[in-house]
Amino acid sequence: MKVAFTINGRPHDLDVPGARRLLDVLREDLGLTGTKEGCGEGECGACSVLVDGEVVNACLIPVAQVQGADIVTVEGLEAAGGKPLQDAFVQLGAAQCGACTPGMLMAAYAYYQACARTGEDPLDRDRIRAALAGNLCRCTGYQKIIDAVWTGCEALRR
Amino acid sequence: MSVGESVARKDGPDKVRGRTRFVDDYQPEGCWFGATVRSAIPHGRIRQIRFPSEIPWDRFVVVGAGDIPGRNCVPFLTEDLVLLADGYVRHVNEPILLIAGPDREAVHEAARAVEIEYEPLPAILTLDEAMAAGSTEGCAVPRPISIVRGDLDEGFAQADLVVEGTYEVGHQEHVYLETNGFIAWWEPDGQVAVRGSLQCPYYVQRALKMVFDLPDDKVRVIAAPTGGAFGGKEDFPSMLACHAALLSRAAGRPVKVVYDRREDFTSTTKRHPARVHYRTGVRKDGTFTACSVEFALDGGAYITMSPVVLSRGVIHASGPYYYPAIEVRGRCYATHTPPNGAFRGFGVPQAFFGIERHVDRIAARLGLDPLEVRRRNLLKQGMRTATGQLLKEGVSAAEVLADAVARSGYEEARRKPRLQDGVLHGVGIGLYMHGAGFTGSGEARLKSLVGMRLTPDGRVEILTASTDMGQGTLTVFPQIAARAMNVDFDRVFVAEPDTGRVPDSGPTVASRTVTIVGRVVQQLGEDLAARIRAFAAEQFGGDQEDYALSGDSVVRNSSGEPVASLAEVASRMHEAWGDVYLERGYRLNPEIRWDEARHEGDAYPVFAWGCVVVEVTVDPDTLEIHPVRVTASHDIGTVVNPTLAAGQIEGGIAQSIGYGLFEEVHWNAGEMLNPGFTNYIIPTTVDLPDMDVGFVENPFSDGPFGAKGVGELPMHGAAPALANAVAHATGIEVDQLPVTPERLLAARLEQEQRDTWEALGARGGAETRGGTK
Repeated sequence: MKVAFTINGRPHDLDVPGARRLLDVLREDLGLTGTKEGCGEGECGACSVLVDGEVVNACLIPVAQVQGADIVTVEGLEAAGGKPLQDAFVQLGAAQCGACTPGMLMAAYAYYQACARTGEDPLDRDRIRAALAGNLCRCTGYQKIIDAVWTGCEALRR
Repeated sequence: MSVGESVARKDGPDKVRGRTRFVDDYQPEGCWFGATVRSAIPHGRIRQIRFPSEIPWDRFVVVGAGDIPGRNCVPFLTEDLVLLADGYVRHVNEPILLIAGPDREAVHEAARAVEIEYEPLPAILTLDEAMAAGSTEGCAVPRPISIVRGDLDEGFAQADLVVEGTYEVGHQEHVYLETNGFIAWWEPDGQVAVRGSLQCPYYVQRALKMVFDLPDDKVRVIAAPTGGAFGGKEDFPSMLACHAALLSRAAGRPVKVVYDRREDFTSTTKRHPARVHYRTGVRKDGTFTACSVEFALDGGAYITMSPVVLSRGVIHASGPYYYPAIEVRGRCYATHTPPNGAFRGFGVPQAFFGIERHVDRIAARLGLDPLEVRRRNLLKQGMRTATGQLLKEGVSAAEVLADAVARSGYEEARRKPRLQDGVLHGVGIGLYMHGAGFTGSGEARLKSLVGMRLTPDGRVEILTASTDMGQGTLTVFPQIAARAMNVDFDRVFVAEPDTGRVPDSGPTVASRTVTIVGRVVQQLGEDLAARIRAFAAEQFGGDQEDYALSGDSVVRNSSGEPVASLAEVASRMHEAWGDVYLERGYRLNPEIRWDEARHEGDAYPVFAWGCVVVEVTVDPDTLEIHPVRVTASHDIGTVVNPTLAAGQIEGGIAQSIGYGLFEEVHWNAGEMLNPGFTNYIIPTTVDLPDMDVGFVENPFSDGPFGAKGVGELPMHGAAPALANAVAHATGIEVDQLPVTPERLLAARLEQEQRDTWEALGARGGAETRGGTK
């Protein structure tokens, strides 16, 4: 089927099977390999991307569902305004092996944006924990990730 | 300079932008995909293999044991592991056939369609069964290991009390976020090349050489950035690389094999299950007089790494304590289950769950605080370990214990009432150590090589086979070299680990990267700086001692002025001398004496030490357990990069908490029943509290700027500390991991029943005691 959507600000028109996973379209059809596959069943969050501002697991989304959507992947995070989070991840040691990092950053950015919409304070470790609970990391014990999300959100708010 | 500073990791900017290319992010032109046909039964003969006609087999290549040009073997310490089963299978999911084709889905469909008829044979599936049977048909085992020191009879005779306990742990899966994967291709000159997710480039090279009967220069192994490993990419990649290379040879094009999570769970190595029995003689004041340990491991169907896992477990099984008399008897059994392999800690977490639970059991029997029992028996400088090693330096058991206890408020938490606001509270300690590097004289045999090059533009390239799987090799090696040379950190970089370019620095395992390979990096940095100073003296006159490097310049000490930029000097050196490349090997301290057969002597050049205090709450009704506070102290010698080191420690503690609370492999007839994140549970953000991680720096004289190893150490303590905290909170002793509410309930019922019988016996049928709340 023909699918049209925007990824990282660029419009795309594709002719692909509608049931093809958004993850495969990103990684294999469009070469956006920054988004990772960790489990393929929506449990680990490594393939988190933003679809119309909501964080979703790209391994669970058939591409037919993103018709007309505005998608942001880790490759477009900086342009979308996520650089303070990315910088904080580097400075505070939140990325180790890097396999969960793209998904973690997308979930973190969605969290910041949700806080900005609702007016909730993003600088709350319990709230950060809840927002990242769907993203597994095996290297860090999450401490430095939570530190970095806190610091990144603080910089974003300024 | 840079050592001791938390410089940001060099690969960080690419990792946060999605630019780091892991193996699955490569898709070479014309690359096919591979899949594996695996055994459905734990033990038996293969009678027949059928290829159903509905699959267009001419569109695929199929490879079996008969297509292996060299030996059908993946070599480790022994050569028993077969690459592809040849008519006989020893465990479920053993690889039998490999299939490749242009379409990934179609390849997996074809693999599923292959029909295999078996003649099943009786299978031994658990450690219990293996211990009862004594041997396992078709499977070899490593030789048993014993340590005996002192007069045990005398020791036990001195005891006021003898305390026994048996402690059991099951499999643990590594759960690196990036699954195992390789791409293989053949060059026109007959060289096989692989790029993969791996820890040990030269292990993979050795396997490929054996399987394809090729010399060194015809085998090239490139380590891609590796998305977590934890030991899980120490041994297994040797097999997967050979599989991909066999398929590529048959297909005549590059072939990629990347496992999905299910296949990675069911078919790759795990931590060895263990049963450890302690029998300890103690005086009333808590002093140990003797200890006898039986340490049993389940190695799975093949030997692979088990002899050294067993050895390391046996050496550490006496814990950070001194005993006038000690014996440890270790034995590894085989089962018809997938071979167990390297996993962070390498036999030691199994031992520490035993010893650290056992110390708390002893304390409970004596009516002493577990802290007091630990303090009475600590290993100190000048004492000898169970192997007879004289501890000459860097002994910090007392320091890390005191530090963690003080910062955690342990003593206050211990005094508080257990039931507060309707919730049970408890606090427990895990105290541990880890010997970095290969055991005994292993590092003398390895002679790890490192190369260092001064580039014509004045940068420094480190060439090493040590990989970065997240732990920070790409960053800490440049820190060490920059400090050794006194040049800017930004000038130093690590080459891609490619056996075509880098020398054999040994495997990236055993907490050895910084303390062993990093030591060579330091020495090479000093060597290279000396060369540059000598050249400067030649160019600018005077004595080489009058020159020094500083940041991006060469300076003259007498004038205090820079004479030239490093880039300019480097450029001139290249003109005069050609390529400026040095190589150097690791030299083990010659005073180290180790008797492998008797397991006696200096097991490791030095130990690193750690202590973690875990506070938990337990719901008295549901028995749900929450770790609410974690405080840790570690002596890893000089801390090269505090942020990276703390990050590794936090990650290790998290992995140990997972081991302690959640992680359990369920089996049916030799097959893993829970190969996914829905039912193999690892900690998430909401399962872990904030951790307070601190350091006691006790430098090691033969480590780079005093550094010891860090990687495995933090894996040892949180699981027993949790179990101890739960015992403190509930009065229930759970001696099996993970400590789940179900296991806690079962232990409580058992304990209540025991108490009832005791009460009946003692009081002739008086009323039974209530619960343990």
